[in-house]
Amino acid sequence: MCPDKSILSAWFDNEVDLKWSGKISEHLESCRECSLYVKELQRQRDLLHSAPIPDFKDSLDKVKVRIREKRTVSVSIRFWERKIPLPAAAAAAILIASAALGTNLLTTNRSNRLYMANENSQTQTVNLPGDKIDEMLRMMESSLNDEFSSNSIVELPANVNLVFNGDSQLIRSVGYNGSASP
Amino acid sequence: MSNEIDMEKGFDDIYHQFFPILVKIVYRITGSVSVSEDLCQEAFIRYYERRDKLPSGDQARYWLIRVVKNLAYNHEKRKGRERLAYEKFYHEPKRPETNEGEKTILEDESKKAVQEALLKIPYKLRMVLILKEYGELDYKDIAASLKISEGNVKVRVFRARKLLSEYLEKGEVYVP
Repeated sequence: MCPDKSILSAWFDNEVDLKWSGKISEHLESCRECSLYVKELQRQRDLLHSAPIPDFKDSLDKVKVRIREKRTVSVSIRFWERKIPLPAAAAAAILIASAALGTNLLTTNRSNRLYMANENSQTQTVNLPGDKIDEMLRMMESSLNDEFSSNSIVELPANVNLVFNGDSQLIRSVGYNGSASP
Repeated sequence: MSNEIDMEKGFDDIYHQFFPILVKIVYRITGSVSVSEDLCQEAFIRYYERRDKLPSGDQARYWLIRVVKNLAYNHEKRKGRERLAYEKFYHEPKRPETNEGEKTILEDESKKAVQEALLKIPYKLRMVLILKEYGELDYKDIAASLKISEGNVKVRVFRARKLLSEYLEKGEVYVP
């Protein structure tokens, strides 16, 4: 009795147990129909492997280019799309403002001039007001106007004499992790 | 630094070893030269990104084959949806699945017919036969890769071969 063709197909793939594999081999020697079927499977396999496969000689270079591109894009996305937590951003803003304010408080050459603009120059020199917080706030508000363009620079006095005077109240009140310090 | 160089070399070795196998698999599944290249490259990029965590040797081969198989499956699904939508919209008859612009790569008519016959086989059966013939996987690995039983693999391979024979006979393909 001939084995099922699905078993012959499995035998052809070496997927039949050794015990049965030997019996099928014996059967194939005596059965013309089954041996023809196995020969047909072999012809089919030869045909499948004779069909051309596209050749990609420079593909590895392309892969490496794509890897590099992916890395670059991923880094730039991280850089531009990084979301800064609001408390951290607020702390940073306060830190910068207090540093500027504190520095000015400690300078020996105190000047309350708000704007020292040179009309003939492209740059605008701003002297931060020292102990007048209202003026400081007004100046910050004015940064929204055209007077305070993106070309403006903040310049510290040439002869700065800094002395240690402890942390400012603002720095002490806000921790670096964004939470209020105890 | 030397570790990095070793990893780069290891990646190159894996690439040269397995890229031809992956190309055969994807090309036989999709029938498109450009898609085969693109999907194989994608698989190797994924391997590169995880190369410090992934095994090498045969395990890498199984991993890569699984990845390209999934990529090819997703591509075929998407292509099928697009084709159906196109046909529905324009009320046009179904087109043959081979890519017209890329047929020139096939050297003669009988070899072209093999690819066309393969593409006519339903995807589930075709995938198993391709993994067997071109991926050089045994039934156990195919079963693990497709999450089906070994018995199911045996049946699918048999049915795929039967259909392939029928399509090749109908297409009067010269079989040496």
